[in-house]
Amino acid sequence: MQLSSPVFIFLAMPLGFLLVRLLPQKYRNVFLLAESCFLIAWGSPRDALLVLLGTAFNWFTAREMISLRSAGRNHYARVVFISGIAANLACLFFFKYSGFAVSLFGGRLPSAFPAAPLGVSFYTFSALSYLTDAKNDETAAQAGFLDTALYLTFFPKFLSGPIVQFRDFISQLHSHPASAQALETGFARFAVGLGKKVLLADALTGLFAAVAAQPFSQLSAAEAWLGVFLYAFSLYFDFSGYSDMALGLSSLCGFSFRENFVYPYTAESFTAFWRRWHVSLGAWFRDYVYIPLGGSRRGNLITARNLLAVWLLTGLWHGAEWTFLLWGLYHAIMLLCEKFIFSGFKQKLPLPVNRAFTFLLVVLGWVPFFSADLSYAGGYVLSLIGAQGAGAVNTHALFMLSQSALWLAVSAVGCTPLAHRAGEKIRSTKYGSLFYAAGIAFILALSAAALLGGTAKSFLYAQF
Amino acid sequence: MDIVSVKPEREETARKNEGQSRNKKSVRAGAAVPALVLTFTMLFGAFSVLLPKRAFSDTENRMLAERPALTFSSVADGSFILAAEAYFTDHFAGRDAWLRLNGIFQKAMGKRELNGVYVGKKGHLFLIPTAPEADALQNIADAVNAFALKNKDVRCCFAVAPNANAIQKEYLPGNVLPPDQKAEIDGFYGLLKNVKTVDLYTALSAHKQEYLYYLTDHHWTSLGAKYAFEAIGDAIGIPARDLSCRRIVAAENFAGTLASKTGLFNVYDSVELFVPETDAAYYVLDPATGEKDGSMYKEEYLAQKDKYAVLFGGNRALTVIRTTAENGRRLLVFKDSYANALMQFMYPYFSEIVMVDPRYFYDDLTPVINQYGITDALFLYNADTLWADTSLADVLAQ
Repeated sequence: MQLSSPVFIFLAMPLGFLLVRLLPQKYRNVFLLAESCFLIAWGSPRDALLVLLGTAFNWFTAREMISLRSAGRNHYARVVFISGIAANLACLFFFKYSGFAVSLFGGRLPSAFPAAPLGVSFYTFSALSYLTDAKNDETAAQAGFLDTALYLTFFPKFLSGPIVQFRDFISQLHSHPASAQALETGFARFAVGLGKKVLLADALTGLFAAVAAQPFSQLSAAEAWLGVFLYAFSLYFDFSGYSDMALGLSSLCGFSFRENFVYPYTAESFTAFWRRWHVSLGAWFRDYVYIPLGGSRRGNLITARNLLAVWLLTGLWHGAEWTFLLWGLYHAIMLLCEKFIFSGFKQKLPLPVNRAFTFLLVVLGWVPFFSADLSYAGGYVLSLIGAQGAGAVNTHALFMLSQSALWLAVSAVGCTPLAHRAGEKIRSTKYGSLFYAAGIAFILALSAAALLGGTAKSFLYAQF
Repeated sequence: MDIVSVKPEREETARKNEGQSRNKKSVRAGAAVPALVLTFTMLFGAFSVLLPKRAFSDTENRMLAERPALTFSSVADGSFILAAEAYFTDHFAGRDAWLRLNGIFQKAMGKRELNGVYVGKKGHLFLIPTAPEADALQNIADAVNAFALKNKDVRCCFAVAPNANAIQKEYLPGNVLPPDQKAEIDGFYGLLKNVKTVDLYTALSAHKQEYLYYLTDHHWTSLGAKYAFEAIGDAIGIPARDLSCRRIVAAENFAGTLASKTGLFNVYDSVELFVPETDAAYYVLDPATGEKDGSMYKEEYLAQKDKYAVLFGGNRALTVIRTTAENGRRLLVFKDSYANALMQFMYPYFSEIVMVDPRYFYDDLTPVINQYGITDALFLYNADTLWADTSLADVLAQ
């Protein structure tokens, strides 16, 4: 079940919260597991079944691997480990990449081909993290079946992350009381995240859709540029809003996970950007791919290879399309340039200039990301420089600009820590917490209105 | 003591959860936020589930979702879950108020295109126009021409009414180009043969400062219909301009289809009815049921939301108006809902008027023409509907 669905927000969430608080400590984890499984089944009973099978498989694989190792048969343990990894990746490949692979040979999948379970990318990466951490980490290896199942199905993060690593989860599992502070932060974060998603991201997506609906012959440069900014903001608020909701809910359950978005559009370099955007994915690739490949410790050439591999995989993780690969490649090139060519030069420039430049280049990088195929991406880039014959500005561009102005202003502020700092300042004054609560209520009310009034829009990242 | 605000971001690894880093200072954890969020969600959740449900939404002008049946197969294939979510959202407590709040918010934030409607100036709402397609138009024209050819004894006339987005274009939102409906309509008329055409665009433009179209609904007012009637009367040879009418304001709080689509209920329309001062009397007959009604005005609709339906109670496949006028002229009208307002003025000039709405009419036309002894045929459509229409050509082909 989507975290932004009214049934979740108004029924499942409050009921679940109350039950967790009322139940004695020792039953809480089991209840959370039950709730998580129920919510997956609510989205799709078939998916729940697949998750159950997958969890059982991964659990037994880990058990086998651990018992082989403790018996000293390390070679076989490694074989079991590799098989487990391969099996998970094979499932992911089957559901997500069969179509792409088949199209490379000019074919097409039959229409009866099963649809990918929602959250399959996140689930698979969690499973891989589980197997790897079970192999390397003693505490992780001792986790019971129910604990492992809870990790793999945990409802705040199941559909769209953050990709919490197993060792980070399991270390908190035995005792995770939610302090009063965590409750306040959790609920506030949930509400703010919902507002980011439903108030900002949905509106921006709607505006972007109007821009993207223009045929290239009528898409003036001004409108094309407006489009990239609209998309850049909508993607950020959609995904970071969802992460806020997920982290807020996790807080309510007493868990504390790493931040997934740390104001990425204020980054002053691509390197910094990737420490701020979808942090959990970057960390996953760093810990499970980049470092095992040698990281940056085996000379420049290997480093370059590793960077390229990781970013192509990152692109591919988002979808089985050439456009995502192009996007990954773009980021890889930018990172390599920064690391090997421009590092000295960048340090001489003032911070605001670096930030502006990075922001611009990152925003441009979204063009292949939102394009259905490479030719659309190419056409759009031509529109950006007015080379499609529609000129610099036209009436429709002015119409879209006038509609978007306020949204852009709010978005720009929302990308910086300003709003958060202001909120904290208000909250810390004498009657501030009441104002703060009123503000949260206001956001919640507007979000309810938008949810009911708008056409249902899933998270942009829900397809991954 | 001042609270330490969040430190400026550094470029190292991402920070841990905010809650942990802030607890050094004396930020007292307030119970206000959790209490508020929980109360809000639980109250609305409970009310949405427990309160009695209605079947139809006036505000949105549609049937609301029905309670889904819980069966094994519907759960297994996921249809129950989708239906349950739709059921919950459709019957959410205070839904109408929430939709209005959303409309206000979207408009305040600058949106001028909401759900297929332009949010214009001074409360005017406009349907976003559809552009005509050459093939579709040719199809319709061919069918009409064939009809005229087949029924040589029937005098045919085609009148396309322009829409508010063309006539009252100064109220469109800034930087929105109005459709060139004059050119579109003239282009369509050029395809017709042996059919009289009426230039309603010029007729209505001459009065464009008047209250010709509802602000919140996609229909024209009775006043707009009256000016159209005068132009049509000239074309089909009735002394339309001699007709005087009594004007009655039937309702002053009409919020139409466009208000529903946008959730904007800040202005209301008044519904005026025109009663001709004539000796001719009439009754309305529904051939399907045999029911007779002494008036084309269905007053019960004035108490409901869709007040435009005061005219005939909406659209039906076939409606007959029998009058005491004895000139022997019998009119067949092919129509969309715009013609409903026109009949107020037409009835004194025909012994019988037969209205056919091709969207609901599935029978053969020829028996109808013979049965009623049709002498005149009028095609009356508004441009937006006609450009998207597919049923007229089909009905004419029978």
